[in-house]
Amino acid sequence: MSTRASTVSCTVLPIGSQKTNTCGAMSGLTDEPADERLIQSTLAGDDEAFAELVRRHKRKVFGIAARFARNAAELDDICQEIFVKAYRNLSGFRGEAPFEHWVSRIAVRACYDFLRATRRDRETVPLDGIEIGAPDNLNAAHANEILHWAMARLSADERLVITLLELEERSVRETAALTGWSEPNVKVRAFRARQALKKIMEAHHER
Amino acid sequence: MNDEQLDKLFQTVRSVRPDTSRAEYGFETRLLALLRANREQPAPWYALAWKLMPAFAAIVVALGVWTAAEPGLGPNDLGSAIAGDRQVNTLMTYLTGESQ
Repeated sequence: MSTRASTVSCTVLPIGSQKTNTCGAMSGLTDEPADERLIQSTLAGDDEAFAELVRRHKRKVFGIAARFARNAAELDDICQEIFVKAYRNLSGFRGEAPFEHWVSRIAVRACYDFLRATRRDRETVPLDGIEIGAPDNLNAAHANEILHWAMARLSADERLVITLLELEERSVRETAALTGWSEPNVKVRAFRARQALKKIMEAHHER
Repeated sequence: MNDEQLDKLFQTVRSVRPDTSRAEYGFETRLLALLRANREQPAPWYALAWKLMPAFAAIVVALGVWTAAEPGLGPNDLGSAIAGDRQVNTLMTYLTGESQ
């Protein structure tokens, strides 16, 4: 697409067509339209534009949700819920932060709601035949299973903060932005969550 | 378990990113089908009730204002008499059929 084309008036065009890049809002040097452009098209009724947005950001959303879901079906359900919420609230996106941050916030809230809704089921997760030994000797699969089992016994708040800070390696500031909690609150919750997690592991080890 | 062991456990777990490629396959298609299906379905009754909530609230407020502005019932009314001091006398009169 020539640079001349980018000076043409910026009208909302269907993303499925070949004329999607006539607006100046282009993502760098590539021919792909910017997220803002796709959002405008979605709001104008173009479902394909939303599909493109989903295609771009689904890896991130699946990555977040996968830390909370117990199986593929749950993962699919959570991700569908996240993107349905994003679709319904798209008109509320003001573009102050990148779309990825906005959708990540929706993802974290949806995961939190999911944790609260399934807390009782999670507590019954068995730990068949796996010993909680020294973490040095554990392979990733066993470590994952043990942590999954222990975290199932945490409250939704504790589990969320541990997942974001320790497993997703988000900073306190990022975690605060994603959860809507203040930074001191995140620190306090993280401390308590770690204590609770250690207690659960020790109790199981003593048994 | 101490903090060091816990950190080691976290490190081991986060070293392996969950593989979501299979779940991601065809996700947009499924999502768009879901969105279209949701659009074609009529809105549920509770959604309509929720939309009518401001109207219900306005009716309640109007009723409240009307009730507060309306003068009370007359002193000879049975209901207000029962609620007031004369309840025993009025009840006796009512039950025995004597006129006041």
